[in-house]
Amino acid sequence: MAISTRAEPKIGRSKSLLHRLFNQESITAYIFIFPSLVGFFAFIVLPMIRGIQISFTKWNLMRPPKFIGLENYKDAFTDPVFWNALKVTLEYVVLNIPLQTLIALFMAVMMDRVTKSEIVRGIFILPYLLSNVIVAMIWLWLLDPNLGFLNLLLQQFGIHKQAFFFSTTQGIPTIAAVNIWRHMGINALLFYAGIQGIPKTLYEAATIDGAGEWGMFRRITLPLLRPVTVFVLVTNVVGSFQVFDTISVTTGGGPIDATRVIVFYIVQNAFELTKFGYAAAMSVILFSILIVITLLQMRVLRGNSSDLSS
Amino acid sequence: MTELEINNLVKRFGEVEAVKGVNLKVKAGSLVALLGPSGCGKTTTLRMIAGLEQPSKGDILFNGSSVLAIPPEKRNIGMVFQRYVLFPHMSVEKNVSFGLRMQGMDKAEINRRVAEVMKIVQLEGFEKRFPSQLSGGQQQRVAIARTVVTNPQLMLMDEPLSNLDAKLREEMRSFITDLQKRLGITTLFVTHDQIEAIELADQIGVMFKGELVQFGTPEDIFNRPINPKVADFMGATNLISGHLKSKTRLETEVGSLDLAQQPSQVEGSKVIATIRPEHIDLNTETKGPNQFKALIKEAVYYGGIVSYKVQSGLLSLNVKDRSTRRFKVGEEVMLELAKEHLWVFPEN
Repeated sequence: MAISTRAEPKIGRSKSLLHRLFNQESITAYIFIFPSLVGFFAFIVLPMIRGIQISFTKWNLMRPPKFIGLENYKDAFTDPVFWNALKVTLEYVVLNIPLQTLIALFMAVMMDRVTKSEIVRGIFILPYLLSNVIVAMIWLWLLDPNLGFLNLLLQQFGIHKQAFFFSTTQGIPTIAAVNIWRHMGINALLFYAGIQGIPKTLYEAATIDGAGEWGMFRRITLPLLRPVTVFVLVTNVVGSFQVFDTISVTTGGGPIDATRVIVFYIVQNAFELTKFGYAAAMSVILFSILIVITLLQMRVLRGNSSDLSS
Repeated sequence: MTELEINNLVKRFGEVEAVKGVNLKVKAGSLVALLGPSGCGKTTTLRMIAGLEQPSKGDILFNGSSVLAIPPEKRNIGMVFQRYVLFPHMSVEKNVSFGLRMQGMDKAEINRRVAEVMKIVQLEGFEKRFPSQLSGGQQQRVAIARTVVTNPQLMLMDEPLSNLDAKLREEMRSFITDLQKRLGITTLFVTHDQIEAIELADQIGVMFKGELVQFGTPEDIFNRPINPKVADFMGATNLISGHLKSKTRLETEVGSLDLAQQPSQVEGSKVIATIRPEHIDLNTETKGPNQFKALIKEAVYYGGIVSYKVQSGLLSLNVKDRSTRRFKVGEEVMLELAKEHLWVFPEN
C-alpha cells in the first residue's frame, strides 16, 4: 500500500487550532482567568500600548499630544544624562544582584544545615515586610553623616565620618547595601524552599561517595537550585533596573547625578519637566533592554527546564 | 577484602527501638542478605553501617576496627539505594565518576576506571546520556557502576531491585551475583523478597521487629526455619496446631501425622507444625501416612502452578500443585503431607 506524503491541508490545521482555543474546556478556563485578564489588560497591556503611543509624541499635558515620530528616541540616544542614568543604574545592578544573591544563598544553606528554626526565618523576612520608603528613611537616619549611629560607631574605632548617601562614590554602593538588606531575607527564603525540594537521598549518595560540605553545595545544591536561581535573578534584575523609592527618599538623584538612576530620570522628565513623550520613549527603551536581558538570562540559565522534574 | 561485624547494635528513635541488639558477621568477600518485612529494622541497620545514622548503642567493625567515629565519606563504602538516587543533572559518565572526582583522582585514571566499569555493567555508549533517558534497569546498572568504580571495601544495597518489573528483577539478580563474585566485594543486601534473598545470598539474616531472629545459609532458612514466623515469612504458610504424641507423631484435628524431624519439645506439649504449600501432594493414589480428605475451596492458576485453598474440617491449607491435573472448586481430594517437610515449633 502506498503511503501518502501529501502535506496536511492548512484548513485542517487552523480548524484544529481554533478548536483548541475555543472548545468547552478552553472556554471554562477563560471564565476562570477572566478577572485576572481584565486586570492584566487594564493595568498592564493598555497602559503599555498607550505609553508606546505617547513615546512618538510631544506632550506636556497642557496641549494635545503632537506626533513627532522617532524624535524622542533620537533625543534619548544623544542625551548624556540618559546615558549617565543608564550607567548609574547598571552600576547599581552589578553591585546589588551578585551580592544579594550570594548572601541569600548563604543564608538559605545556613537555615538548612544549621537551624531550621521558624523564628529565624521570620526574622529574616522582616525587612521585606517594610515598605521601600520606610526602609530608606530608617537607613537615611542610621547613615546620616553627622548624627547617624553608624558614623558614631566608626568614630569609636578611629575611622572618619563617612558621607554614605551623600558621596559621589559611596552613594550607589550605599543604596545597593540598603536594598540588599531589605531583599536578602525573602530571597533566602526562596532559596531555602528550593533546597527543601532537593531529595535528601542525593546528599546521602554524595556523602557516601566522599563529598564534603563544599562538594555537596557545589555539585548538588547549586545545580539543582537552577530554577529558583533563575526566578530570583530574573525578578531581582528587573526590579533592580527599576529602583526608584530608595533614591527618591534619600539622595534625590544626587550628589551631581551620582545616583540618578534611569527610572528616577524618567519620573523627573514626566512629572517635573512635563515631557511625557520623552519620558515614555525612555520607558520603552528601558523595557526593551529588560526584555533582552530577561530572554538572555532564561536562555543561558535554561530557565524553562528543571533537572528535578525528570 | 573486608569482614563486617556488628555487635549488639541498637537504634532508638525517641521511644521506639527500631533495632534491638543485632549481632552479625559478614565474611570477607561474601554476600549476606538482610531479609524481613517492612519496618523490621533492616534498612536502619544498613544506614548505621553506612554512617547515615548513629547507633544508640553497639559497635560496627570493618576488619576488626570500629568505624563509629569515621564519617560516611571516609568509610570507603559503596551504597546502592532503593530508588537508584542518580544525580539527575549529571550525565551517566559524571554520575559514575562522581566518587573518583571527590577523591581528587587524576583525570586519565578516572576515564580509564569509568570505561572499565561501564564495560562491566554493559552500558558502553551510554556515557553522555542523562538518567531521565535511561530505563529502570539501566539506571540501576549506573547506580551499581557508581558504587563499584571506587573499589569500596564494602557494598551496601538497599532493596535495589524493588522498583523493577519481575523479568528485569530476575535478570538483575543474575547480574548482581555474577558481579559480586567477580569483584569479590563484601556485600550486605537488604530485601523483603525471600526469593531474591535465597537466589543472591551466601547467607541470610532474617529480621523481625528490630531483632535478628535467624542467621544461616539459604537452605537453613528455607528448610529449617527457627520459628513459625520465619517459616511463614519464607512461604511455609500452613500452620497446623496439635500436640506431640511422641517424638515422631503429632496429633492434630485432621488426625495423626508422622514426623521425620525430632522435635525438641516434650511429649504431650502443644505445638504448631508448618509445611510449605508445595510439599503437600493432592489426590494421591497410593495409601500412606499423613493423608486426609479435604475440599477444594479456591483454585487460582499462576501459569505452570495452580494454587489451591483447601479445607478439612476447621483446618484451612494452601497447596501449590505443579502437575497438569486440575481440580474444581467443591471437589473432594486426598491430601498427603510430606513428613520430612513438617517442622514443629512450640505453640508460644
